Amino acid sequence: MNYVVAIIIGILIGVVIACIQKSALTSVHMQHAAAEYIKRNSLKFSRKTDTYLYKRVEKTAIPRDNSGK
Amino acid sequence: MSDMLEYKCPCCGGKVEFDSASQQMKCPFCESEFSIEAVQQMQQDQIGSNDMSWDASAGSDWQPGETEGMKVYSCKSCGGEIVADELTGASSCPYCGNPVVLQGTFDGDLRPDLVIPFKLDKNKAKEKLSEHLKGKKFLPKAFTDQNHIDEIKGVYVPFWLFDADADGDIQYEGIKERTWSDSNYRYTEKSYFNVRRTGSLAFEHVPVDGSSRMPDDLMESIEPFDYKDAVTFEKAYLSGYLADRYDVTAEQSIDRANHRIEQSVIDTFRESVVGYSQVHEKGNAIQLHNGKAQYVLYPVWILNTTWNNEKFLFAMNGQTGKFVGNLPLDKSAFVKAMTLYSIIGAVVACILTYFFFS
Repeated sequence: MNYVVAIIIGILIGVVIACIQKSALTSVHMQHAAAEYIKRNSLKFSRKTDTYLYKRVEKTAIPRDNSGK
Repeated sequence: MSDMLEYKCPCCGGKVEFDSASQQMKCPFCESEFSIEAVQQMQQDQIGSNDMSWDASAGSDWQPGETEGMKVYSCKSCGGEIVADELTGASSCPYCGNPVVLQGTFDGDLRPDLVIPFKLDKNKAKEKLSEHLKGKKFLPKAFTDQNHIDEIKGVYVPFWLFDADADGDIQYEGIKERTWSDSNYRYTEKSYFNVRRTGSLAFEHVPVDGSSRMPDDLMESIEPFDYKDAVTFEKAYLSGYLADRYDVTAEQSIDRANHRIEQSVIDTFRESVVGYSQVHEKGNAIQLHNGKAQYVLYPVWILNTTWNNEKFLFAMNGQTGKFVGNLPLDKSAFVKAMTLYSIIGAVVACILTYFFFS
């Protein structure tokens, strides 16, 4: 099973590398935003609050390996 | 019929063009250089004397309605007729190559506020194209070998530049996680926070392409332009280049500017939410005010090439030299490489699995 997972991961890495190299052929795209046109030092926050609401705890049992017993 | 502007060298009478290297007007025949102001002054002296000669040659060749959307100009150098649409502001005579600036296109409320003159010449555009083709693994070799440029043209592209102040109010849910375990259980504690960011951000010179003839994605790809080099518009800068006036109004361009500004506000505010394992935006309200628009001309080199009956369009920022353009894919090379990488990846993963997990 480990080898099957390893082969799948290896194939995925190969595909990703090829796609990254292919993406170099495309250089035309719309701009996502206008970050380069933000006036320097113009960002001013009038409110910056982080208010705690509540907490939740989840627990998961640790699988035990009984094969040695 | 609209009048045309030509800039003649006072030394030899040749046609004077704007030289991107020296940022002055230059005669390519005797290499004399003149400032923009000097050429304007000389032109003003000439306009009065030439004006009378055009009155008799207007209009009789065209029937009413035939020229709708078109203008016909006669070249002053060779008399050839140039047919251009009403958006064309500068062109060259197809018969003698004389650069001309078409008057009327940029007059009145159509006059650009600013222009960034060309800083880089045609040779630089060709050089950048060669660099653009280098090192592209899946580019068909035939494309590079057979690469010939059908056309290179320096174009002043009309843009709308938007300034605005943006006020944002964004709410997030922030989650901090802590994990620990004992002998029996693994515990995950999640603490939930209500995160609020309210503030303002100012934008200046956000560009939106004002020509429907220029692909918007191509024009956005060659950004940014450095506004510091923008100068008050003078027609002399257009000489030697093509130029169009806008046919997409500022009102039609606002949506695109708004979208980019809003996205930047969201991204900038999000960067201030730190220290959480997960952050989810719950809602935002963004308002723009103090908005204003400027009409400017930006320099762009456009290159066309054809390969395998497919047209490829490249563009270079005429100020910074940024070069863009999509290239064709060699599909068989791509599939072969992907297969090879996958085999190598799988083999390496199996070897690592053997050494670490068996």
